Amino acid sequence: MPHESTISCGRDRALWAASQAAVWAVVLVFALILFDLLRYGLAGVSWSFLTEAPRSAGREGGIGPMLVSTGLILFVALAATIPLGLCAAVAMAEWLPYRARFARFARISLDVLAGMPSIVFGLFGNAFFSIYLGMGLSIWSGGLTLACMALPLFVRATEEALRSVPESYRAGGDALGMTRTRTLLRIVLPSALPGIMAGVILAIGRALAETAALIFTSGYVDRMPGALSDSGRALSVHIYDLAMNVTGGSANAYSSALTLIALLILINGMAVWLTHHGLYRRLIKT
Amino acid sequence: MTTPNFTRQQEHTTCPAALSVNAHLHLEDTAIFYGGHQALRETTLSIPRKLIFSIIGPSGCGKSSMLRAMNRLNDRIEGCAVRGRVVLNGEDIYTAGTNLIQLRRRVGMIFQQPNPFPLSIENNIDLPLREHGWHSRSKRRERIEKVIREVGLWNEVKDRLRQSAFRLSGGQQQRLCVARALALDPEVLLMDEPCSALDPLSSAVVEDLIVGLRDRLTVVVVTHNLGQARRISDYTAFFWSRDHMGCLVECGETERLFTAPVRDLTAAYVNGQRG
Ligand SMILES: Nc1ncnc2c1ncn2[C@@H]1O[C@H](COP(=O)(O)OP(=O)(O)OP(=O)(O)O)[C@@H](O)[C@H]1O
Ligand SMILES: [Mg+2]
Repeated sequence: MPHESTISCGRDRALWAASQAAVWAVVLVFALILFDLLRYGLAGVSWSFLTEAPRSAGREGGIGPMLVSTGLILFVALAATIPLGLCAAVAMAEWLPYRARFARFARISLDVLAGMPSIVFGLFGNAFFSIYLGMGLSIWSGGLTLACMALPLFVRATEEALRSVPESYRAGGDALGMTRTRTLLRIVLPSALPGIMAGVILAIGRALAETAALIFTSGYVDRMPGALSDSGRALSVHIYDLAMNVTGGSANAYSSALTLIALLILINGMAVWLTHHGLYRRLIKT
Repeated sequence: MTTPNFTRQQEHTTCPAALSVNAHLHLEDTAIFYGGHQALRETTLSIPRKLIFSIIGPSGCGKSSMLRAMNRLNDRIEGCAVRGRVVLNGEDIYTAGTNLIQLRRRVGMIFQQPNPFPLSIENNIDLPLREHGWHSRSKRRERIEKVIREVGLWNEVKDRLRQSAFRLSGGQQQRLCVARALALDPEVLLMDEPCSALDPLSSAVVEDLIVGLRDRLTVVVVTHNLGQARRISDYTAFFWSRDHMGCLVECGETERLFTAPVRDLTAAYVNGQRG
């Protein structure tokens, strides 16, 4: 309950009740999904499920190859998104004047990209990476397509994080005769790290959840990939396939979905921990 | 009638001629613009070497802008332009060849809000030292201790040099910022209302610290505290704002400016009737 004196009139109370109800609704939806997944999926999850290859189109067996494919696609996507996105965000937040035509144009492009349906990215990735650049249906082309999707989210999150770093740090650096690059590397970027990490999490979330764009780019072959130029089936594509095309596949679909959610929560937690205890401490506090 | 009035005004809006001979920092027809708006009228001002120079005047008359012009901190502000000359030791700092890094090492700046970096107390000073080529770790250590002692902070922080500077009180943070600026051995220290975010006790400590810098380096301090200006400074410049444009009204020895101001406006301001 908020402090009594802050709730004075009936309208306040109504708004408070409504927002509290909304919070509960959100929690409830999440709990329902999780409950559903646990009820139907938990029994199927085991070490052999996580490591074995699928049998009988996925009705039986495990999801080993999909986990590996998903990891590799994610790796390619992040390896492209993070350095590129970081440079773009630094350019937009630190170097270009806010109203510079170029920066404005970049910002609008990113916002349009962020709202684009993923199927469009899939078609683009297929045409550009798979066909034009000759990557075929491969982990490369899936990962790079995901990078295109995650980039706008990551750049905007990072730009916001950089903008929220107090201007007084930069003025302090300037006044001490530090180069802007040094101030950026030693003071501004470390201060923005929690926000940047949030951007990474957003990017990972979008990448892990993606189905439509990957069907056209990394393909749906459920073999264990031997190289980044091999085709590979992502976990989300696997779930889609089991749920839509395989009769009797729903048990394994549930287990796969549960695995995916667990993976998301794990990565989330890791990023938070890394931000506050590992990297952050080392960079900032000492 | 207008001519004598004009000369009289000239006489007191530029500093006494004797001053400019030994001037450390000299503004010559310096004007400051933000976008199309002129925030400071053409100003000529001499700041003497190794003394304390205070700048007083109402809010918005361009004091901070002028201070920032003295080490080119304005450069980062979008749309800000400085016309005229700002001369340090006889050299214009607004030429293309000016090394900004060196300029700011020589002309330090303290802000109204203490702005330590989000680093440990020690690293707040260590980082700029390294940036300016202090490669020896032990020499940096010595230097850090020396300047922290100079600002009277050593006994308070010697056991927690590795803790975040944010854990210090506001007054301690401000003294750390002064130590950080002093570490680079500047010849001029610009201070923009260095005490106004502090409680009276911390404010007095920082004030004593400023007085201690006299004869060692040139201090230019902007303050809204007239008593403070009178206590600590050797010379004072009084600015006023007309039609949203700051202009110098009177400048001279502090005691003279407070006890026998030439301009009526100055008299009204220092006696608390205007401003
Ligand atoms: N970054 C900026 N962009 C645009 N205008 C500015 C900027 N900084 C200052 N100004 C304008 O310049 C004028 C002088 O501002 P300045 O901050 O130098 O005054 P000041 O004398 O320091 O005031 P105060 O005593 O309140 O600190 C004001 O009219 C202000 O609106
Ligand atoms: Mg000011």
